[in-house]
Amino acid sequence: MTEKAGEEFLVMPIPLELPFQWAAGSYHGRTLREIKDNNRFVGIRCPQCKSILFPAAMVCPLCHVKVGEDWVELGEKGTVEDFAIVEMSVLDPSTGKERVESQPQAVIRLDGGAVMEHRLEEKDPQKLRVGMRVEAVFKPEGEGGKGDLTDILYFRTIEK
Amino acid sequence: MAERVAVVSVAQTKYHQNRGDVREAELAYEAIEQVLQETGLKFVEDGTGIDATVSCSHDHWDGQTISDIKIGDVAGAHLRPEEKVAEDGTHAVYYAMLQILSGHHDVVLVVSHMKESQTVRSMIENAAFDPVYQRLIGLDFLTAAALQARRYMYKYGITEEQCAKVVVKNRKNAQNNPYAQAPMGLTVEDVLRSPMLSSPIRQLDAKPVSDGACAMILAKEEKAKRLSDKPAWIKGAGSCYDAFYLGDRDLADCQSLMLAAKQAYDMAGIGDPRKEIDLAEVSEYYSYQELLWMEGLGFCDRGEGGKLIDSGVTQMGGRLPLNPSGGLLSGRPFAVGGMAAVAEAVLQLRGEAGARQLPDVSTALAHGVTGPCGQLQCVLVLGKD
Ligand SMILES: [Zn+2]
Repeated sequence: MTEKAGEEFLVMPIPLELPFQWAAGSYHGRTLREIKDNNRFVGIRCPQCKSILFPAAMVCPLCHVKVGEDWVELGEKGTVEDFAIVEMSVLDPSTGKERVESQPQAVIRLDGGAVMEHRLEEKDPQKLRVGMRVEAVFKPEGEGGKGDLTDILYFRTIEK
Repeated sequence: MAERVAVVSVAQTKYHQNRGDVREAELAYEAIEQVLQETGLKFVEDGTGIDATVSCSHDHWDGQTISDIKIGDVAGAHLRPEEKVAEDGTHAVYYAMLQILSGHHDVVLVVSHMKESQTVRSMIENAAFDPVYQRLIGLDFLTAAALQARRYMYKYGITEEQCAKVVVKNRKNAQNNPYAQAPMGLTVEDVLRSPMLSSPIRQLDAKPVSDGACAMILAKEEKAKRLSDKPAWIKGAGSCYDAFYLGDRDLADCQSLMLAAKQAYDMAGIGDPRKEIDLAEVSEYYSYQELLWMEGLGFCDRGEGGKLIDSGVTQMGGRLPLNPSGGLLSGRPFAVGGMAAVAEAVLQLRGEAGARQLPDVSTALAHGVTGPCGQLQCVLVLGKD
């Protein structure tokens, strides 16, 4: 319990660690394993509406059917659909501490038809634009891929 | 009541101590898929299918703000209504019933899901207490339950043996329930020899860590009759909160349960539950709770819960079997617990309870509870017609 001099309000700081073990399940699990082991993006095609679920999932949210095992490669290149240059400090979810975001966050449509959120290497606002072509840069082999999205370092510009 | 609501389909996963093989959505879909297949219903907007979804889960337990976000895709919530009740699963059923009675929806999917294994129970439950005033004492639902058990036993002379008999009965009942996590042949001595957790509660007096999901479809009368030839009608429903601070209640009593039961009995037209209820599924996170809840539900007089278990009335074959499924003590997750109680009541009413089927079931009671020491109670009375 801490009390600031001259104030009647008490403040109770409880720095709590939240231990969780979230299961990826088989569909998210394969999505992440392909990124880590094979540096590629794979999604799953809905047998009914033919849309691609990425990350892969068991049920198509549009058709409400089980999607089965029609895995498709999506390529590692794509087009920036949306981006934001984050100027403020943000929470680092792996530490709970604040960090200054060093790379723009972006929504990228992969050439294989699926959309993902990640970060861009390019930081210069003058060079960022919707429609720019990018490709994924993966963590180099031997640098300890973890089976999560940090196995992708960022997307880098491949065309002006 | 102008409109009547029935449960037309129920499904559960097998309860398990650690479903590390699936995400929550995949776990929930194991139950959802079964009720979709049984009823043939689809998530459509033309009035012929499921109109809305109600789910039950908890942000803090799931470590995710808006914990229902991640099951929306499998629960038909993409560009469709889905609402979460973060209490016990019985409250989700209660809420879905109200959606139908209000005339807002005709057919509602209810799903509860929980993976207790993915985090630490005591930490989550400690966070239910007031952060400024209570948490640093180290209270969780187990230590609070120990306070309640001691007070209840002191006030009414309930013995550890009588509490242990609940464990023996329920773990034995679970041997006939294919969904039960931990059926076990036990003796009273086995229970009394198990390690002490927080006196007077021993390891076998507490429910095990559990993962699982439960789903059901509720429908208004006209559609219920088309969807099932054995609808289980919700005849009565009641819900009631008790005081937050434990010191503001006499923990030997369960006033909120008595009030919830009264609401449910009045609505169902039940005058004497001891005669008119054929079986009850109650949510006993700890063994003493089954005795205390029996009192709150009016199955015996105050302080007579111990005598009731001694008499054998609540065993299979007794006049008022309690927890034929094996109850929570045989392994069922938080939040899913009371909904599984509703599922068992429905299976018994439909004559589909397999080796644990009781004869001549026409009225069944399902009970759910959440919060420390039974703070929030829910009672549902279901009937064949
Ligand atoms: Zn689809």
